[in-house]
Amino acid sequence: MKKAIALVLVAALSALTACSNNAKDSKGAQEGSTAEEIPTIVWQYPTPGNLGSGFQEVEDAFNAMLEKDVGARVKFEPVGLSESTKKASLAVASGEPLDIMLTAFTSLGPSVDSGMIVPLDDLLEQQGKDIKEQAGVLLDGAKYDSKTYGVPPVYIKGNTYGYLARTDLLQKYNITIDPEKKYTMDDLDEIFAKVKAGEGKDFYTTIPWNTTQDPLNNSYIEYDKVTGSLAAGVLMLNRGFDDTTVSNLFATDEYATYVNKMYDWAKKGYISSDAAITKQSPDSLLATKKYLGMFYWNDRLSASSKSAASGIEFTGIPMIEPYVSNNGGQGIMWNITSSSQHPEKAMEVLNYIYKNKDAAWLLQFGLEGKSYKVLEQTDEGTSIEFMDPDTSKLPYYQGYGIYGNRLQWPVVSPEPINKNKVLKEDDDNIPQSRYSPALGYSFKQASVSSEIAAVSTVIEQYTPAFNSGALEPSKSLPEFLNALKSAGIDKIIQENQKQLDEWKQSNGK
Amino acid sequence: MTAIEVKRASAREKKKNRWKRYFPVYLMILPGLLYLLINNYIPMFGVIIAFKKLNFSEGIFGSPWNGLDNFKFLFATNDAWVITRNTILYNVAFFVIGTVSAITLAVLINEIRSKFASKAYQSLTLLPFLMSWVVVSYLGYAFLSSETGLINNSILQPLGKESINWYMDKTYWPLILILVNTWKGIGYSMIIYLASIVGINQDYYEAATIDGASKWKQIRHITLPLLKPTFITLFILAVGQVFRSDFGLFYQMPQNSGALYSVTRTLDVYVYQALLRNSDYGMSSAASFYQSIVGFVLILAANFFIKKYNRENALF
Amino acid sequence: MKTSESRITQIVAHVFCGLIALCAILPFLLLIISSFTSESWATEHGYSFFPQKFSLEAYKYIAVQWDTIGKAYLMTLIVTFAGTVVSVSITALFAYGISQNHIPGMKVVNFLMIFTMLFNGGLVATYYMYVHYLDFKDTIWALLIPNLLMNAFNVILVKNYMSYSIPGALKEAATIDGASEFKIFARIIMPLSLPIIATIGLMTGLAYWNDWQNGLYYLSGRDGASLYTIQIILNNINENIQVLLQNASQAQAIGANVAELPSTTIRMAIATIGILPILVLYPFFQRYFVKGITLGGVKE
Repeated sequence: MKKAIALVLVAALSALTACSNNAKDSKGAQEGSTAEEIPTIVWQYPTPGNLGSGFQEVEDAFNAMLEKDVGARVKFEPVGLSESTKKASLAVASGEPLDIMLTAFTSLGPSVDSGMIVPLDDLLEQQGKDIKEQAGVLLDGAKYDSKTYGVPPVYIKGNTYGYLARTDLLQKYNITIDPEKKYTMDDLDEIFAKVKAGEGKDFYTTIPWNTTQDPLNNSYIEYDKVTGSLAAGVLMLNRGFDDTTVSNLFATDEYATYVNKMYDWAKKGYISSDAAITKQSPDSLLATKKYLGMFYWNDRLSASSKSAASGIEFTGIPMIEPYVSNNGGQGIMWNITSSSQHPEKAMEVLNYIYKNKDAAWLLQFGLEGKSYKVLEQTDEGTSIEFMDPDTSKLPYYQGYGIYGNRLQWPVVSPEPINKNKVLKEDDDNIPQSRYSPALGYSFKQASVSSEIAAVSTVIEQYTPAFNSGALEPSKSLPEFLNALKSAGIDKIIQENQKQLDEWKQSNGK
Repeated sequence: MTAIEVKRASAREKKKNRWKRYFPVYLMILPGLLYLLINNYIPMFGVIIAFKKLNFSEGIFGSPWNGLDNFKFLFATNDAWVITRNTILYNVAFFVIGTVSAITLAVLINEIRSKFASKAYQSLTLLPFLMSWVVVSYLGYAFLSSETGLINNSILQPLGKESINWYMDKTYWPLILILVNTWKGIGYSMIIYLASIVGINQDYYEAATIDGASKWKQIRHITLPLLKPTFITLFILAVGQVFRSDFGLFYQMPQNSGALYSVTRTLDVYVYQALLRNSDYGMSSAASFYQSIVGFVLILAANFFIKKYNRENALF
Repeated sequence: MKTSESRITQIVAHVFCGLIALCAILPFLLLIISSFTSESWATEHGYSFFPQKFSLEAYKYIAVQWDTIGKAYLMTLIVTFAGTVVSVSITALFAYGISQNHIPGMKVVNFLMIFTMLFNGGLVATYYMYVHYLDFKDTIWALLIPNLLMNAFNVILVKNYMSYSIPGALKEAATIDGASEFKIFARIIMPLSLPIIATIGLMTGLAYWNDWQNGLYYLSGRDGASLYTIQIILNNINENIQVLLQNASQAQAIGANVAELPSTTIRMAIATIGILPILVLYPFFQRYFVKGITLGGVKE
């Protein structure tokens, strides 16, 4: 009996290793035959882990386009969104092939400082004309030490924030929203008071945002997180778009007003007492109907698209005039690794998904007729529908919107077909006077990295509690500011200011 | 041949014999030794990352030295003392309470006569160990949430007591963390002790029973003393880990609630929070090196004292 | 007198063990019930032992990947079984060797082993070793060997057991009879060590069963996907939910929709799927605890 098991085991093991070795060999042979004329670019592919059955087909289709137009092939390397940087660093360190990596929601600094990625300015000049043309000022958000290191997907550049409120409740309490007006916290206070009085206990007026440190999820005031982190100070744009003084946001009067308001709201029962720690997604909280709404991104169409996605009718309440800021760069961008053998080709491939929108559509939505079908095509755009409303059943589905120029994509029904046009129009209408003066600036943090690490932990400790009104400001705010000070926030801000001033001088601003 | 020569020859023979005898033993440890070499000792050069400003394009060895800069962030906070205190005190409490409860459980399970019941207890107490911390933190939230939690709604309210906002009130957390840690680990540590108990020679118990010793006396005078070697080994190993902590317990379980940091933040949690948004291999290696070196010194000291008191039970 | 004492002992033991078992099983029940609870109901009312709305949405989400999951279960079984057998053998041999500390060099080896519990070279160096030199990437060796094959803690447990619980006289007698070291190890030491071997077998088995890190680092999503074990897949789903939740406020920036996932109940379902098979396999190890008792009674 035992021997039988052992035999089976050995057989299974050797079969497995043989399989994987074969796979490797055939792959090697394939690369070998084409490598001379056509280089293969290895490209990270963010995915939750389950590649659809049609993945290979899409890659082949994309390669057919690339071979013809660029003279290169790609090999996608699937990777989790949160692991892309770590896996890239391992690949670069051990000399595995990897040409294009993804930076998602982390700062560029460590990747640049550790020599993982290369500057792209020359490559953009030579092979990336379409990227430069379409991304424009967005490329400023991919800079570090005055050099460009990343290529972001193109989308609107403006920040437009506000509050999304349930339309049925607004109507119930006879509240009308003026879409031209910019509502302040006090205006909202009045609305909240009315609704809360009517709905009573166990009803809250705003879902908590404990995943973001920004007051009201950015809807409170305009500021530019020039380094991407509140730890290194902000430009208070609400005071003026030409002011280049780096301030500690938490030490401002605006922040004090804000935390007092939150404390007040929590006392009045507008904010749930579990707000600081709940791990429920905002959408699932809204679905319980125990909330009036949330502070959220609020362009002209976001209320309607949120309504379509959630099945609850929302009205957008604008709070901040759209503005353009640096905010420490783009959330998502592509970088070329220092171990890449073909950086020029890699850039050409990247450029291709901006140049040829069919290529971007292919990678983003899969093959027409297999993953999606076109409903309508007009001058204003294209409207499509997925072949199966349950996207996990599609042969190919890329849940993250990352390829090429998002404003040239089709829109997924039921969103209005002219969505992209409207967004672009609004975006282009943002006046230069509402552009942050620090666009293109980036902060080299190496000299203060231990202070940043320490300050980050202090911010992490206090902001979720302040944001949900769980701390009494008169006692806790001074405590918070002291902790920030002793962790070295002043030194960071000073350094930031110094670098910003130098950058201003050398750029003639 | 003189007598001396004969003696020498036999000594040589003996020595040769001894080596012949030892050779198979060396052969036996060879696979393990090779594994230590490949898995641990060759990659050990990685510790120098803690002292480097790591640059991948120049390689680990080519990167410039950085002195102790990578270590600075560990001490850049006012809370450094609180963090160290938490880490050490929790480890002490976990060890004491975890060991007492695990030994009690193992001894009692060993006493149970029904084979089915004994097996059932063994499997059931291991259940918590099989859950990940994320899941445990959700279950914790189900009990402790101030609005929907089972404790507030199903226990405190019916009793007419006021609800407690558990995640904002740090007074309860040292106790909660110790309970949860014991709950999760008891099945696992119990097995280690149980294995030692079932390995005890039954003759001792038979003789004791004939002498009319009570169960309690047998446990006190046979079982517990014979568990001492296992206990001492686990103690020395625990001393070496005193600067490390279970990240999941201290980060997930309290839902990363800032109000609780002064009693929940340990070294590992601090390092995670510090490097969350700016990952840095140098700094994380430095943190781990710091934990290692402290553990190393302490383990040497602990072993030294044990050796003085009882040579046999020392770890090395 | 005697029977009443032993009855008291039984009662005390049952009450204590029963209480601890209850503490263990209640949360586990809650876990299983939660995985069948409707996400929206759970969000509103919290998890409950008596939810008013049941739902299979979490399992449905996982079931979409069922064919992958079935294959992954098989892979988990193979890796766990092979890994445990090899690991236990290496560990037992090594422990037996260093337990004979009169042999020159064994004390040094013992120290070198303990040293690895404290210091390690970190991920980058280990990865370099396994990928660059040994070419383990996308092979089954990557799931079996890195970090899991032998661990110092288990070696120490076995070594202690061999030194303290096995009468030295047994070995001496065998040596005088002219038995070879291998024979002594196989015929005397191993049978007598069964309780501890079962223990570390269980621990190693659990470690292999639960491991996802080797998969994460050493298997790429494509060539390695055929080698995915159940925990690697479950961890991928978990991570994905985590990232989307953490960046919910920036979801706009990547056009991702968080609302699609019944996020927390999925995790409960995932945990259930991962744990249940262990409960089925566990009694297999328990046999050896009982065996140890009878063999421990062998007369010296």
